[in-house]
Amino acid sequence: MHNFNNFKRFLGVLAVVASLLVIATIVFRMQQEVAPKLAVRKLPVQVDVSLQKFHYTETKQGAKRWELTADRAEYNKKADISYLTGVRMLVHGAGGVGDLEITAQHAEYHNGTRDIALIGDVRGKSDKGYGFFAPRVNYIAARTLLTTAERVRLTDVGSQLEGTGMEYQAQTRKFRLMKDVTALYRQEGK
Amino acid sequence: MMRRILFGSVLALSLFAAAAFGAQATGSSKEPLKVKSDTLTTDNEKKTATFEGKVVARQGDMTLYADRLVVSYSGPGNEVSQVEAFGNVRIVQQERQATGAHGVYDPKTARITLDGNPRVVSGEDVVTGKVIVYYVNEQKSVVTSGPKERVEAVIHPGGKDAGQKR
Repeated sequence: MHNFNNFKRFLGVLAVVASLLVIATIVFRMQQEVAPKLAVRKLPVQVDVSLQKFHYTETKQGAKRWELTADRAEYNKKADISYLTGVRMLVHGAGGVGDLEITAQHAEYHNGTRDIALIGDVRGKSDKGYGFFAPRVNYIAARTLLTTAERVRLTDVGSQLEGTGMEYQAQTRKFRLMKDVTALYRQEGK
Repeated sequence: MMRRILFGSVLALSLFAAAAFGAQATGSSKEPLKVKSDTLTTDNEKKTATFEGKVVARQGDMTLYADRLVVSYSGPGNEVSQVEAFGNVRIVQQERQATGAHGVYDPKTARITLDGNPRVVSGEDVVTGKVIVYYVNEQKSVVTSGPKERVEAVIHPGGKDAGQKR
């Protein structure tokens, strides 16, 4: 009888120990399986909204004037400027002059004026075969004018032009180089 | 000793400087045209490029100086079809120099037509007239007189080029 009581006590203790071990294991497992932290990039203090794959189209009287796309856009509400990265701008020409595609590493899009500062390896290329290259170009939306104070190089079929400072009328493709101009015209395909 | 020759015809043609300028064709009209200037304005509709301010244009051994130069181009290859120079036009090719107020260069014929008191100078020899047509490749000039302006040439037979084949 005494032995039977001892055995019952032993089983009771065993059951309690086993229960404690199960609870301890569950608690330990739960602590190990905490959900991973979300890798949210902290926005800079001056950025209010950050967007991936930005696209903006400017129209006038129902016709597309230009389109702006970017891999990333960060909007600063206080300055009312969107800072764009991986930029592509497509200017639709008037009067059959064709489209002009401009790419740049970065851009600052001024929401109020719709002016755009294209910065870093700015390259323009028209579907008529000519193009330009400059380190920085500003687009003045009200005048549909591309301007730069930097050295700019323009290439066309049969010619190569260089100058410092440029005003380039995006709609008509007329342009002016402001100083230190050099031009090379190849003759008869030479 | 200097000798002055006055040609009497109303529309006289004077072939000038074959000896003074040599007779070998340079083929410079096939060479690329290089232009330097202060400013450049282009018009894709009209297919023109206007260079202004201290313009210097070089093609082969020929150099053209002017206040303003308008380059016209055409065709699928945008080849230069005409070059028009305005103001203080000066063309230098080897020892030959031509000046005038206005000049038109046709690359196809390699010919420059100068007007506005045109003048061709080679060494001490000088020819003036109403219009001077300057043949770039042949290195010769044809001087035309006007109704009131006769061709005038000042040639120095004893010059360094005297005796060369004409």
